[in-house]
Amino acid sequence: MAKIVNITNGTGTSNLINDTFTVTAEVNGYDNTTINPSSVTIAQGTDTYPFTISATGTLTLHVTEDGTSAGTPIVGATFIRTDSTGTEYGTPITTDDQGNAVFNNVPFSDTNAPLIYYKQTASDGDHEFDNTVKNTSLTIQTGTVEIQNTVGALRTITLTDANYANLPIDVATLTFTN
Amino acid sequence: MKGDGNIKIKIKFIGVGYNDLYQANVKIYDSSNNIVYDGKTYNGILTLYLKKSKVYIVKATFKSQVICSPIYVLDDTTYIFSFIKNTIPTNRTVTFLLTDYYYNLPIEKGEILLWQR
Repeated sequence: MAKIVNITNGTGTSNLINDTFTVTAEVNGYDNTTINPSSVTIAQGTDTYPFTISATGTLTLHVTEDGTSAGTPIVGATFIRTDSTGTEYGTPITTDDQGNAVFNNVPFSDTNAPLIYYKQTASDGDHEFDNTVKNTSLTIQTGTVEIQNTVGALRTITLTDANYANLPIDVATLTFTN
Repeated sequence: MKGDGNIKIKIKFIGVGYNDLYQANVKIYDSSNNIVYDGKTYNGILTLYLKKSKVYIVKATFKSQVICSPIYVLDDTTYIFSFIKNTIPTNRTVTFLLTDYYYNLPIEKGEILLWQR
């Protein structure tokens, strides 16, 4: 009979004897055959054992000005995987010339699919973006989420002479760098 | 071997596996340190013939554990040894970490199953 270790937020504990065990996994949305290592020797003096598992889904974040599949694509927007609290993991993914940021190896499941958390960390400099943590889930192996990055709002800039109150400067150029 | 004053005895080892899986290796020595038996248990049990009123040394190994004990063969009894006493958990908590291979993300919910070999 197997000893079952319940994992919550990446951690589980169990009382165990020193011995060698074959390891299997039951993680919804992941390829359970990728559990690594697949055997473990519990030895005196070591009380923490790390494992990894991977998935085969693909999530595409498609960024456009109007948030539709046919909208003008935003090139150079960046996204990163997070947990539910917003802690970032992995490396940022940047949208290509089609406006697509592709996350490979994400979980999917036709039932109780795990949530995939992500957030946008930048746009192309000309568009607004929402940097809060979002989530989605995949019930099939591939999926696309449409994301809107609106054009920056029209702003009015005034430039006046510092020595003569309210005297407008006739012609000038201001450069804003963010 | 049957005959010549030999009697049939059983030696049972608690804590080993079933059938021929994960069985103890057993050697039995006579008082002159000659090996009179060298084999494995089946279902944790060894049945063999030994001379009555003689002392033998039973040396059994199972995984990394060793039992070495004399037995005095009186009659056709069953001698019982246990590997379990050395394997009782000492309430030692082991922590398992499970993360996504590609993103190092902690897995929110799942199970790791450990199958004792």
